[in-house]
Order: sequence, then C-alpha cells, then structure tokens
Amino acid sequence: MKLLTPARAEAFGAWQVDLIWMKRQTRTGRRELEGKRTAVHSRQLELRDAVTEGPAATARCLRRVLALENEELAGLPALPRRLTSGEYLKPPLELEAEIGDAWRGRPNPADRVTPRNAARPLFWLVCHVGWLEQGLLGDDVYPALMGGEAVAGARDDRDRLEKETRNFLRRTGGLPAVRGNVSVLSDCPISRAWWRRRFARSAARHAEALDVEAAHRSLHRSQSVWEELVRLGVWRLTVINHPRTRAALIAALAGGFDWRSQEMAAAARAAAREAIGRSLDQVPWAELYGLVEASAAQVRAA
Amino acid sequence: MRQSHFPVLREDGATMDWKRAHYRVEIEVRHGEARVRHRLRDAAEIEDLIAAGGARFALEMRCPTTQFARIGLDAGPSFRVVWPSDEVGDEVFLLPGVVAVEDVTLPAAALSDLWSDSPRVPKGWWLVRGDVRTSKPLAASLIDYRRDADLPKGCMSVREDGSGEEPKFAVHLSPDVFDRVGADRDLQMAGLVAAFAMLPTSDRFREDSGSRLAAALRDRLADDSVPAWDEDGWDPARAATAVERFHAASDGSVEVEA
Repeated sequence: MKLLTPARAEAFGAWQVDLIWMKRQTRTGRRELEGKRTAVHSRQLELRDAVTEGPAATARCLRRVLALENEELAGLPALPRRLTSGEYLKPPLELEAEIGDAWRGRPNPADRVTPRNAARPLFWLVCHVGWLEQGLLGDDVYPALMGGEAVAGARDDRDRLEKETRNFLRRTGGLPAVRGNVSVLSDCPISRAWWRRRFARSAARHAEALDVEAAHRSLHRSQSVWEELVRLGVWRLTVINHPRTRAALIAALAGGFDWRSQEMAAAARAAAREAIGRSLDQVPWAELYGLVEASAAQVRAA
Repeated sequence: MRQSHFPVLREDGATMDWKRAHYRVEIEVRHGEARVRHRLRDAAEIEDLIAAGGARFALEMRCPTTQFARIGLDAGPSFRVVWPSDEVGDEVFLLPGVVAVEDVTLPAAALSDLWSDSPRVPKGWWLVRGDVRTSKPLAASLIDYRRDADLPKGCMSVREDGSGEEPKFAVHLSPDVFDRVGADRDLQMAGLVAAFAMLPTSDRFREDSGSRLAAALRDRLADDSVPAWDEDGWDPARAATAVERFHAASDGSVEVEA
C-alpha cells in the first residue's frame, strides 16, 4: 500500500504533532510560544468545526489535510454495519469478533488487514475517512470521535479543545507522539477490536484447551489488562510476543479469577525472567502455563 | 530447588563459563530476510551436541510494533530466515545463538572452573547467545525527509546530518513537495539518489570511519558488483537503485510461521 511509506507516515506524524499542544514547547520564547499556541488552536478549531458539522465535513477535512486521493481509499475494510457512538467507543464482543473475522477472510490478499498495516495509526485514520464517507459512524460523530468524560471536565475552552483533539487522534488510530506505539493497539476502538480477535485466534491455536471465544472474552473483559498486555509487548517485555508465551498468558487470564493489570504484569514478568536463559518455544506447555498462572496468583494473594 | 543458571557462551565474552570456546555471528539483512552465519571456534562440545540433534543454531526475530516474535532453528551454521512481510514493521530485532532442543549434558572439562560437575541442561536453554541486531533498511538508516519552509516551492536540498551516532543525510523538501513525498515513490527515490551523490564528500563514510552503516552500505554495493563512492566508476544513481529499487521487490517464500 503506497499510502503507508515511511515518508508518508512521517508527514502524518508531523500533522498530528502540529495539532496538539505539547508541554515541551514551553522552552520557546514567550512571543514565539504564543504564536505557536495560536496556530495550534486554530488548527484544532478547524478540526472541531468539521467534526461538529458532521461525517462528510470531517472526511473532507481529513482528505484535504492528508492530501488523500481516491485510489488510496480503495480496498480498505468496511465496518460490518452502521455503529452507534456507544458501539464505536466500546464495541461489544460480538462486534469485535465480526470485525476481526470479516477482515481476515477477504478474497483479495491485498485487501486484507495485516499486522503491518494495523500497527500504523495512519492506516486506521484513512479507514475512518472511508467509514465517515459511507455514513457508518452515524450522523452525529462528535460523541464518538471527540467527546467523553475528560472533555466534560475541561478547565476552559482551550483545555477542552486540546482534550477533544487528543480524543480524536487517539480514537481514529492512535497518538504515538504522546502514547508511543502502544496507542494504536489500545486507544483506537476498532484497531483494538481487530488486535484482540487476532490475539484470541492465535492463543486458541497455541494453547492447550482454549477456544477462540473464551480467549477473546477474557481479553475483552478489562481495558486495563489489555493495555498492560500490549504495553509490555511493545515496550518492556517483547519476548511475551512469542505465540506460545502469549497464549499461556491469555489461557491463564481466561482460566482464572478476574485479573487486574497487576496480575498481567506479574505473569508477563515471570515469563520474561524465564526467557532470559531459555527459549520459551521449547518449554513444555504445562510448565509455561504453570509459571505464569502461579505468578498471577501470588500477586492476588499478596 | 530448580537450577536457574547454566553455562552460556556469549559473543561479547561477558560470561566466563567456557574455557576456550568463542562465538561470532554474521547476519546480513536484505529485502525482508536475514542470512545468518554462526561461527563457533574451539567449541567441539557444542558442535557435537548440534550434530547429535540435542541443540540447534537459532535466530530469534522480534518486532514489538506488530507484537511479532518467532524463532528459526537449523542444524547447519549458515541459513536463511525469511519473515512474513505483512507481519512485521520496518524494524526487526534479531537475536542469534544456539538453543538446546533436548535435555543435554555439557562436559565439565570444557567449562571453566566455575563448573565442577557436568551440568545437565534442560531443553530450551540458550547455550550460546549473540548480540542483538536490527533489520532497519539501509535506505531508512541513511536518510530522513524533512519539511523545510525556507525552500522555494518545488525544491529539494540535501545536507549531511552529523547529530547522530551514525552518519545520515537530511533531505530537505519544500512544504508542497514534502506533503507529496509520502505517496510518491519517485520523489523518495530522487531524495535517495541525491543523498547518495553526497557520499564521496562525507568524512563519516570513509573506509576508516568505523561507521557500521558505511560498512553495511559498502557490503551491499559489493554484493551487486556496484562500485562504492571511493572507487572508479562510482555512479550515485546506480548505487541508490541497488540499495532501493524504483519498484519494491517481492519478499519470496516464508520460512517462519506466520
């Protein structure tokens, strides 16, 4: 997909950074600072105006700022149906399954959602442009794309605008400049749905006695546990991305009590500690599963 | 209590578990695959284990951005690992070594005095570990595209960027060009060719500079029998298109499980 070249991604990242007010910008001189802040504010206003106006205006705005051409939107995955803002923000398990499974089995390999694409915020943002144009996010897209509790609690209009913009960028694909590469996996509800289903399928394949639905249900149950799993996989303990190791974590999550992020962290750390000396691919399943399960149980008991 | 430490032979020599054995590894990365060449010296005991099927040469791949991790094993010291291009991002971390694929015994005579008995090493333990490598494409390591509002419309300029540990070129583009470069491979190639044209002027790309990027670039050109920037017949356009073609090549077969 030519859309996702490194240079394109770099330009997209620059666009995102130009839209938010980063605290580190305060190193600049006061006059220059005020000028920059005004410019950010006006870009944010433009985006909010478009989102408030509706899906067509939002899509037009994004097409213009990203210089998207029609051919770049061809072949992108469609949502299974029109979503309410509630469904968009927190897709039910069945909807997540539908999204993850439908996009996997597309007849043209070039149209399939791949991990390479799905790990890129720009890919999901472009998908959103298509969904907005098809009316799949409803007529009033503000609550889904910008609204929320944080916005309601904003100190003033400037703060509110900042929070709305960050919500928009996170939900439409992620905001790596602020949240790193984990953002696309945890902040965009549709991307998150796709990744959860993928993890569930993989876990069912590599675990002993775990089916896809049970694995998916366990990953869907808690956002904080999901976020911990992907955060550790991206930043700290990359060894847990081995399919058998992740399957052991998910099987233990599915088989036990309601884990919190602390249990997930302890289980992942136990696996990573073991992996310092051993290739976990070679460790018998019962031993691997027992290791992560015991670590989580220990945290629970403490 | 279960033992948690066994002898390991490290490429960087950081452990002193083995008396004489040494390990080196060369990994060449190109077009979504790695060719790995493990070199064991004075390590007959490990080689015997491999020959008997108790251990395997290994290359582990990890791409955190796509949550990808796999391991490729082989009985021979030289092999090729191809990763599924759709499953990984632009950078893959590569961890080479030798893994026990059965429970094995390491003879105490080959080990340092730290080990009085011949340890029985369970299946899965790394017997040998190399340093971590990265697969970032050469072209991406060589250049950065930067928006430059001071450039007139439609213009490009290339400057050496000496700020990093490794040498690099910054391809400055006027805003109108920068906005298009992501979707236009021809523009990207123009930037790359322009950067290659600067190579002979850079001290940091001299043969004695010690730069790993310069060495990798030189190796890549030699592979394609294309003269390097300090050789007769230097042709920046030919060199740039040896490293990065106008049209990306297909990745070939997949050898690790998707």
